[in-house]
Amino acid sequence: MVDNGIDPELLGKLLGNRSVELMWYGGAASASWYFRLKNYIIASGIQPELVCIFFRDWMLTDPHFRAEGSYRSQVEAAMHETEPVYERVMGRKRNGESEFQAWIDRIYPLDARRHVEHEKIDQVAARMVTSFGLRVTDLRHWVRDMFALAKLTGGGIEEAAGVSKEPEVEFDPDPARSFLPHMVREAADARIRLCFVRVKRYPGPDGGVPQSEQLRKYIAALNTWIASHDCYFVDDAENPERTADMYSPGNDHIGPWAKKRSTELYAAELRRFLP
Amino acid sequence: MKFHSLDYLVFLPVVLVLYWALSRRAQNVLLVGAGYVFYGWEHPWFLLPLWASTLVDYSCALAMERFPQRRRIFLVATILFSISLLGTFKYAGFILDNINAVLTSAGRSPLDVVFGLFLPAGLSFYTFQSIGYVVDVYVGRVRAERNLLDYALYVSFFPQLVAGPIERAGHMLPQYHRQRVFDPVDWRGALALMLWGFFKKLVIADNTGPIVNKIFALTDPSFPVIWAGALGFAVQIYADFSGYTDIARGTARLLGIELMRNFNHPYLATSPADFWRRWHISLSNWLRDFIYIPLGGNRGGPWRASWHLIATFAFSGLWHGASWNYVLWGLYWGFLILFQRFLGWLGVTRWFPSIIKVTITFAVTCIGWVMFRERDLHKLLHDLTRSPGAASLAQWSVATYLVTVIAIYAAPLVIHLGATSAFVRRCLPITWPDLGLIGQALVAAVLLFGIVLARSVTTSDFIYFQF
Repeated sequence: MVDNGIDPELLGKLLGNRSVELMWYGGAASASWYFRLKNYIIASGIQPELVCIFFRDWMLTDPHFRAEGSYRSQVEAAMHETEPVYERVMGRKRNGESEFQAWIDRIYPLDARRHVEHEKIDQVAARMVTSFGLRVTDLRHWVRDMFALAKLTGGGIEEAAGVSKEPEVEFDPDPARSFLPHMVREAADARIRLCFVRVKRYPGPDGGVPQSEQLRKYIAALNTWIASHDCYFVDDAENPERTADMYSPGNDHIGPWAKKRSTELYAAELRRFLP
Repeated sequence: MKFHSLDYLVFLPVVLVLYWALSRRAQNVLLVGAGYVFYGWEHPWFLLPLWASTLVDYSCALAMERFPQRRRIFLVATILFSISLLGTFKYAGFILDNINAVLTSAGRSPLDVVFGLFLPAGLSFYTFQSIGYVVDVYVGRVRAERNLLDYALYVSFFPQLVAGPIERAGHMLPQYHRQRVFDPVDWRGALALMLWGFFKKLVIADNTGPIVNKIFALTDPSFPVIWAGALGFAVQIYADFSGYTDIARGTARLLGIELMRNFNHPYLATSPADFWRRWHISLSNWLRDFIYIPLGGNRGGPWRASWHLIATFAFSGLWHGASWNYVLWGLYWGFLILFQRFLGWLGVTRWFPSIIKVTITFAVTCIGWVMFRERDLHKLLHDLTRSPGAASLAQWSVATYLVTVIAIYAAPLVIHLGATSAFVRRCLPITWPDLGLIGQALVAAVLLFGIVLARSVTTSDFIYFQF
């Protein structure tokens, strides 16, 4: 989300010549963020003025999102031998999931395994098609370009954006179900201020991002909860200045050509939280 | 309740254990109760039209036999009731939209009425099955069922309640009247059939579905991409619907009940008429017996027979959904069969080898699937008029890649097709019982392993639930 979205040097300069450290790990989600905060930032003894966590839609309270399968090693790399919070959160069933499914997943993370198998099928198909001289990267680029959100209609936009696929749940700050309250508590204990930044996904033709009513309700509740815990919240998801031409075709990532512009937009949002 | 839900994995064993511990009469009571639990699981109000349909059709059929001189009145009453159920839940919104469209085009203000009733799943299936029963009673093909419980079971038998096969009373009621026998050998076949059905739905249909959805969501798809989508939809809808039927037939067999075969390798059809003898066979039979033949069938000369055919297929299209694209799809098939008859009359079709006939039939089937899948008529016209010459190398490459992904997921269908085709059967006469316990267990293990490892991460309802 932030690999091309932030130039740390430029951001530091725009925020009054401050030092900015980008702790970016591709594909990381809430389990990973919790451990990076607790076991790296807080454990280091450094007192940063502000720690920003960039997230998308429901990710903050979906602890299983990108915590298993191929992402498991990334989470484990930031963990200690025993992590009671991890056991507490991950041992419970996911939101909207049956007990049986949760039990199966504890024995073997099938969904994550399936992702890997489907990726393999996808790679086999790409290799077969490109065995006559095409490059896989070109093919991938064409596929992304063809199915860019701006070229889809109706339900296709929602499906491609993942809005309809993600769990339509209510905001639930239960410490047994998500890492969010643990991040907030750890930061408060260490007197570190947290800022949660909701990033904008690839916009549609009108510049907006399709959002279900449930998601809007969820974000409003999340915002209220974060404010009540003395943290900051930035909702960049409807920022009209973040336009489609800043994104790589068809996906939620800012293109390298728009890094400077994106950094300026984030700096404008974050400046107000710094003395 | 959905077949591919954990609820069903609990529901079915409980029903089976109780079922085989009971007497025949109690078994029927259990099946009726199970049918209502299954059908009303997510939306209990779905049961109201089901009960209404059961009571009205049961009473009218009995009345037909009791008052034979007035049986036509009872027939008309029960058919009107079934049509009113369909009209209220399925077609009212469509009719209103069209009235408003006509009023708007005539410069008048549209009607200030909102009609957005939720269609109960399977309504079209069980109303057709009920109409079939009362017509059969009317013409004397079957006797009216005296026992309300057995008739309720005929309407609400849970394996085929939501998406068929559309059974006939003459086939089902005798099975509900006789003693069912537990047969472990038949159980093995039934479980394998269910596993294959689940595999088709969860692995093949649900993995091709998202690709198809994306292609049909494109605002301006190129020629190769739209036809990759048509191929994908051909795979998806066959795997989805035949998968449902296999699960239904397998479940029924576990209960000692035999349901009719609904598919017979439809993509090996050698002509449009042959396709409809192989695809959704129970609907084709129903339309033939209750629409085409009562209209006059082949009687009255070629022009009248052609009209009967076109009307039957237009009706078939409308049965599938309250949308003009379905009517267009039905008409398309009607005209295709007329054209085939014309070619047959000229004697042209004899020149072609079977492989060419199968290829041409599959190609025209895919064109039909584009009409079926695309509800927006403007976009449909756009999709069908794309030129292959206008597509770029990138578009051809992406389409080839999409077809390759679809082909990988569809490979088990092709293997199954090969293994069960008449040609292979002649060369290698091995049937399911010949495999023995170990062979059958191996096939089942492969299917189960495939479902566990390759099923789609996201799943969707069966396509025919919406009809």
